[in-house]
Amino acid sequence: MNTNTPIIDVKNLRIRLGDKWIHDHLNLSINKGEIIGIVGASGSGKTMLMREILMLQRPDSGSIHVFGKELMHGTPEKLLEVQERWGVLFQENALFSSLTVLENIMFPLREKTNLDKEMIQELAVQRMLAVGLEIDAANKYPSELSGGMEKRAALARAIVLDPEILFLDEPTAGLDPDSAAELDELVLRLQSMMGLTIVIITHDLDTLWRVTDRVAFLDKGKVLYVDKIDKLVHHSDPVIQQFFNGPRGRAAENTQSE
Amino acid sequence: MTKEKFITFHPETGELQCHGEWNIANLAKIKKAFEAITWSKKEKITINGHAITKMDSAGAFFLTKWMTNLSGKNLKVHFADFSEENKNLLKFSEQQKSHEDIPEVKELSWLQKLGKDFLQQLDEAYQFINFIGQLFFESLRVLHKPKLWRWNTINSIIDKAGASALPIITLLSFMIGVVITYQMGNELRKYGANIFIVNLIGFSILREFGPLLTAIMIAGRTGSAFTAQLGLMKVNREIDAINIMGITSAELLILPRLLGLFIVLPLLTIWADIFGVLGGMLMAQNILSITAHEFILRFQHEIPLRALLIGLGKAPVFALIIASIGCFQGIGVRGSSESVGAHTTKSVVLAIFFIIVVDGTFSILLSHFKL
Repeated sequence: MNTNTPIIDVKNLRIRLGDKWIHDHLNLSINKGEIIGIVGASGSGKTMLMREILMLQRPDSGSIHVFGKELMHGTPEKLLEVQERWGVLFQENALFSSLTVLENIMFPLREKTNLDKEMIQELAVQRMLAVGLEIDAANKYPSELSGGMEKRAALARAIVLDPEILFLDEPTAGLDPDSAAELDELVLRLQSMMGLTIVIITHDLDTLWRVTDRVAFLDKGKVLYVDKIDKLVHHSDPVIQQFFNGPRGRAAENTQSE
Repeated sequence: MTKEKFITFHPETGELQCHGEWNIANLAKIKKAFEAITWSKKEKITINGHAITKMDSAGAFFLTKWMTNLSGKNLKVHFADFSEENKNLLKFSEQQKSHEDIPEVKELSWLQKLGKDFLQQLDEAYQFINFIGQLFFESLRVLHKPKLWRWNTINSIIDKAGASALPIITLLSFMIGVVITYQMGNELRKYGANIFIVNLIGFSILREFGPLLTAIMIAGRTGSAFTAQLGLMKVNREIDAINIMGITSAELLILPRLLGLFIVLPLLTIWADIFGVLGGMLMAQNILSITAHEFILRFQHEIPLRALLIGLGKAPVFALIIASIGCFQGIGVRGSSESVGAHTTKSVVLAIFFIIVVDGTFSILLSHFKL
């Protein structure tokens, strides 16, 4: 693929909930191999944007291209093809509650590859260790895990098929600062190892500073600005100033510049 | 796809040439090709990655793993000519601790399983008795605080479990009336005892079929709904949220359900009685030529009020069985979607089981007292 064509290209996206336009002519393109953060106040439609790109929610109008393929009017086969090439870490983890951690990670491999049992297990164990889970967690059920472990297990499941795009919805929400920092490092390591394109939806300013290449700021149903975080925080737009220059925003910035 | 070769081995130089796409989709084939190789006695093996067009982390993981295995067989292995990107992947795979033994899950012997099941059942019976006791004390506490009587919830239970069940109860009991008359009618006609169909229909529907069928229907319809509802609330920790607010789940969720069903099941039973008898009456007219007028006259004369009251008397007991088992199973849900399913099944099966057991007990007791 030509490196100049964006891997995800969203154009003129519109969607309405009730009588409010959640997205009103939203445009966003994401390049191959970058880590892009999507931020915005609560209710600005960040998760909705992810759900639309993932085809979980049908927009009212506009177009979405992923891997250069138009999704909204594609055939089911085409959609399936695309769906095998991305992985998602949902905010609520969405682990299968009736399967153990290892079974959860093995599930996509069983469904989508023709590997034999032994290989599937080896690969799943490797992914489990790669995201920093202990081997003892293999036979535990999601309800027996702590929040951080659940996140890691869900992340392992998201990357097990070697996706080209990884969506992370609030990956550090509900984690203690140490675990959150570890998760940031994990994301960076995965990116450098697997050459992933990563889309992160987050409120976590530390994550934005540490991990992202670019950040898209959502407000009023549009992407207001897309820029590097150090430039974005100094943007003069009052909405952006309010978002980043609260006491916590400044603290995060200071830690990074030290 | 044409048969691709992912690996070629040159025994004379000890060079292993990798080609093509080393990604997860091809791994099964690559493994086969790899296993087919007969290794030469050469001590040094060079792996050439020049011709690899695409490689993902799964491909790199297995390549390094196989190479480590070869190293174990006293062969010296090194990589050559891999692209920068793939080198990174390989380096990364090497750094990872890749294999650890998964802790084994202990399998129980059949005797242990039997013992475990037995203890579990015993524990559950104990829990249920506990639950009933708790409910009893809760209801005493709530009794003299009318503010805590959740009329809204009770109303909605009466609506959902009662009013919306009317059509299906109508149809079901009507059909039962028809079927009984049809089967009995043929036999009665042989003896010229047509008119006794009124006695048969009257006693069987009012005393047994009306209450029993309604209860079984409601156990399937409403008991299961109670379990699923409370079970999901339990999984979402909504029940915990209620409990920490100084509101008990019994007072907010369980007692209204119990009371709602307690009120509504006798009413549904009367409804079922009416339509069951109507179905019988219609059939009697058709195949036994007993007019509606005759039927009703004899019905008044032959069927004592006692028959109706005994049937209706069972309904509240059935209601308590259905609601308490439904709620108890719902509260017992633990953590997973599978658990919700298992408890819902259990709730319906147990409720129907106990309804029939209690109905049998009633019959025996009543006949003992010549009622």
